[in-house]
Amino acid sequence: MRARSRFRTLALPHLAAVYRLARQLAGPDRADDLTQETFLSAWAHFDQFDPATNCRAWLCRILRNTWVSQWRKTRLELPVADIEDVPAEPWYDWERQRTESDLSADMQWALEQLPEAYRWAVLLADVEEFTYQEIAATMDCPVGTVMSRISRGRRMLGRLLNERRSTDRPAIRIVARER
Amino acid sequence: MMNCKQFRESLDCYLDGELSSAASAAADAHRKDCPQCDRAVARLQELKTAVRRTVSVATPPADLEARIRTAVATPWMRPFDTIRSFGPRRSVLALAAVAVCILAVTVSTRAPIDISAANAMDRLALRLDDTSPVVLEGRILCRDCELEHRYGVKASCKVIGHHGAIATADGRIWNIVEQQTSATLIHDESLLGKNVVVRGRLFRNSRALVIDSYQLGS
Repeated sequence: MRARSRFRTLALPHLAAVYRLARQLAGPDRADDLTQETFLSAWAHFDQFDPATNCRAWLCRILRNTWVSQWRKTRLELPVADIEDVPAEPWYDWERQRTESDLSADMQWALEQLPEAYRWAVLLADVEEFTYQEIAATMDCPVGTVMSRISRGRRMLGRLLNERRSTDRPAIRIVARER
Repeated sequence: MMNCKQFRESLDCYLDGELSSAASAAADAHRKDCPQCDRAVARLQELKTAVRRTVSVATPPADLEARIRTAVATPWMRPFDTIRSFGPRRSVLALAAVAVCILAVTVSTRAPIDISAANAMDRLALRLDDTSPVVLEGRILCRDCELEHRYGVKASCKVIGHHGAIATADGRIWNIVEQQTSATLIHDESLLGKNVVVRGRLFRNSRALVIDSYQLGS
């Protein structure tokens, strides 16, 4: 099969997945461009794709690299790669009744508060349902780091949602540590 | 037998299916006997579902797939392996580049023609045909954006980046031949809009400029 049609068959079906992650990374205004750039970059490097691996995970890796390099290009500070000193509550307690749209709005807000590395790990696990191994490959870090980022990220989400619900205003804001 | 502390520590791995089958069975057994830990599983599951539901709402714009298909179908957008198969043609280009360099050395002994007064371009046009050395003053602009601005050509700078060129006061845009000396002028987006004085040679028919050296202005 010609490379072009193979690319269309293997990569394009993941457009929606790449787009929704791009939206989480770059926001609704820049998600289009980021998605398009990701696919063009994937096409340019399509010879490096191993068909035995997960194409969606490969695209997500390119998406993240594209985002990181764009971020650097525009000279914004990258969020800190790993945060060890964020106090995290161990369990979730946020079962008070909320409508689904309220919950989604709160959740979107909470996701935006998470440091990028934590948010990315949680999204890859919960939305894309990648294995920890695939997430580690996508994020260029050891599996143990993935585990701790997912665990901490979820606890932060739970805590942020709790705070949001009890006060309707955030009492805590998790801020990336300066490098 | 797994205790509560151990269960809670492995809760994320358990729910994500990352535990070994033995550990997973031990967690199952603990959960059956411990309503609190069972509740913790339900809460975490709820959180996971809420994340997925929130993020999955977004759908790509209707034309995005078509745009990507069009871009991928463009002949110059090729994956690397296809480009490599064009080896002979690239060799010709390399030879041409070498030839240009040799030519540059042979003509470099001539005195430069100063055309910093850009409105003198037409008067000098015929003289430039022999690729004499020139000193040219202009402004660095993105060629593709300028074409979009002037003629409505659809530029892809958002995707592939800007492409610096030199616009002289008479409205002409000079393409810069890609070389080590000129790569910064072409690709450094922070230079867009700045004035520059370049020394090099003009190829009038292809409206191209080979740059030997340059000096940035304001």
